[in-house]
Amino acid sequence: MPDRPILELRDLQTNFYTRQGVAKAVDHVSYSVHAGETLAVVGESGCGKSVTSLSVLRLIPDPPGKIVGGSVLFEGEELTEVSDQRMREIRGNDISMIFQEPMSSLNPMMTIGNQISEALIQHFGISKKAAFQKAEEMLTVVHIPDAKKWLHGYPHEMSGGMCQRVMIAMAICCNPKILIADEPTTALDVTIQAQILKLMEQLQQKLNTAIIFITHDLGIVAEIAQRVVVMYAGRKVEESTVRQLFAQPKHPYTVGLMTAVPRLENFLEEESAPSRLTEIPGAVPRLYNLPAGCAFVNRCSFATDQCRQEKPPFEEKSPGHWAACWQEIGS
Amino acid sequence: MLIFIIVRRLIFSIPTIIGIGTLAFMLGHLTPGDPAIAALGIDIEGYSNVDQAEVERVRKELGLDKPILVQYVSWLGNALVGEFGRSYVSSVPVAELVFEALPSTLLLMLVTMALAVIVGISLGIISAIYRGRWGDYLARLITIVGVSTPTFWFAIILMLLFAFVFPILPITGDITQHGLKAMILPSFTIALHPAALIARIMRSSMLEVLSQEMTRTATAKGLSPQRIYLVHAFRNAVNPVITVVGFQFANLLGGAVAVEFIFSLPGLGSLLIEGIYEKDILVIQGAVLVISVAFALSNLAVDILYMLIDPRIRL
Ligand SMILES: Nc1ncnc2c1ncn2[C@@H]1O[C@H](COP(=O)(O)OP(=O)(O)OP(=O)(O)O)[C@@H](O)[C@H]1O
Ligand code: SF4
Ligand SMILES: [Mg+2]
Repeated sequence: MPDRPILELRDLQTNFYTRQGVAKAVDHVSYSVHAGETLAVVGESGCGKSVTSLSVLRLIPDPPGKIVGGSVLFEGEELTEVSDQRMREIRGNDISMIFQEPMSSLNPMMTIGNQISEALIQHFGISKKAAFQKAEEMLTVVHIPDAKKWLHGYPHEMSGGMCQRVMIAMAICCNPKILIADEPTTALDVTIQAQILKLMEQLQQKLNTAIIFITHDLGIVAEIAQRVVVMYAGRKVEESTVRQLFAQPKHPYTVGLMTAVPRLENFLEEESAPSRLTEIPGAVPRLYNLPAGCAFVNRCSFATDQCRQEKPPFEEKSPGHWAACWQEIGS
Repeated sequence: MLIFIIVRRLIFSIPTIIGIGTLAFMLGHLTPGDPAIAALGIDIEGYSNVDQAEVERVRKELGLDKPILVQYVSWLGNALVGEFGRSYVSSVPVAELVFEALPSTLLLMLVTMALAVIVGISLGIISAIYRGRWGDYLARLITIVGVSTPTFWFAIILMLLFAFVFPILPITGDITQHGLKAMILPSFTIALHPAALIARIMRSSMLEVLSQEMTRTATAKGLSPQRIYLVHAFRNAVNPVITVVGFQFANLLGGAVAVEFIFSLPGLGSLLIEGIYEKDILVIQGAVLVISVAFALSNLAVDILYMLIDPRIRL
């Protein structure tokens, strides 16, 4: 990997203070991305993927959430400490985000043109006319037909796929250095999903953008990412290159995720096809009272007494491949 | 097409207006007392001394001897072309009385609504933005006091306050005497409840929008808080307020009727209450009809405003 990463999270901690107690939604998470690289963040629902990335841009609703420790370094600048003013300059300009739900993430009362151009006006100080021109260009870039017409359209007149493209146009219009895509394709059907992924790849090549791609679909990870971070219950449990991860997962949770991936051949060769869509048995433990030792212990078939009592350290199991597990899996 | 929609809505409101007319007519006839006696200028105490022949004559003259249905049809036919008959008491055409009184009432309502909307929305926004901090507590305190203070009591307090403690505002009289100042106390009185209600709704609606994903998107774009609150959140939060404003017009009219009377402000309300005192049926009917039509039209205006503001509603 070339020199210094463009974004680096170190021991980031974000808590939610609720009636049930304190949820450590992000518990000492570290990861980094370099320009032009795609990092995938995977894990089941509720494991803290979104909260981690929202913490980067300080978008955590406060109350109940709060970043309580660690650091987020963007080109060496400590984002957890910069002024609100500086944070606004970075948001949408250097670092932008695409959200999980395209429909509800757009403002239903504002035209598409206005929603795209307001970021341009904010960050580049250009005229409304120039911003609209640029917005039209961006809509063409994301393959929206009749871009000029759609500038005056509203989100409710669009399909989910089109809304997501508008979100992408909005996110990339200021040529961000980092693009955080939070499950950008989950709400879409497979064909459109493929188109959107391709689009993001093209843009990355053109602008040398670093992409943090959040998903629970390991199939997508294999397709687009170079490195991957696996999260479980607010913690990072495994990190490696995509190739190493698929060749030899080192954490039982990752192994579980992989068997949970639906594969076409499984459908073809078995009568009872749906039974192969197995999820990992059991559920993510509630963040309010995690087990003292390994958080995965209740669902892990390798669990020992040690796992119950002591937290496994996050350590390098083989060169470039880290995992937090007491057992040596798959080696 | 918006014009087409508006025209269609106007046509649809014709049956409503005819229905309102019918109610107004019945209301006039349900008012206790004999209008013919009232027309003779005899008060209740003089009732026993009435010359029965004289009453019959007046009754015939006013058409009160005809079957009620005939009276109804001719009244409604005339009312639809703006002809409400003459006051039994003063013989002045009712249309003239009503249209003389109308501007004052409309102005009062307009000033009141503007006041209620501006105060209510501002309080609501402040409350939402400073949620859980002193700005919110202060705004909510004002709102609670506003909701729980009876209008009548508030009017009296205002009158006492401005009559004895700060004699800077007129407590009775109309604009010809005092200019717009005459409207201040009456409109504050009427605006109290709607403003408090609007503030509550604006607050919760704003909080709801601020917690939605679209607000996060706006923040993630790097927009300023002013733009996020006043452009993005406000436009989405204000719709329920518009609906409430529409419904509040009814209350406001009711409020105007009573408050005009309390503050001796001439207008439809004062006209109506005088009409009731005098058993002047045609005046009552005319005033009620005009007030109700104004109400129906204001509801229509709210619907149209809704369509203009929210692109999703174009039915
Ligand atoms: N507004 C909130 N209030 C309280 N707790 C929250 C809030 N948002 C998130 N959390 C907590 O943070 C945890 C992680 O949530 P997060 O949204 O990051 O999950 P995720 O990994 O993105 O899941 P998904 O795949 O469903 O998007 C949740 O389990 C929840 O306990
Ligand atoms: S530490 Fe123990 S319980 Fe946790 S994943 Fe490894 S083997 Fe399973
Ligand atoms: Mg998420």
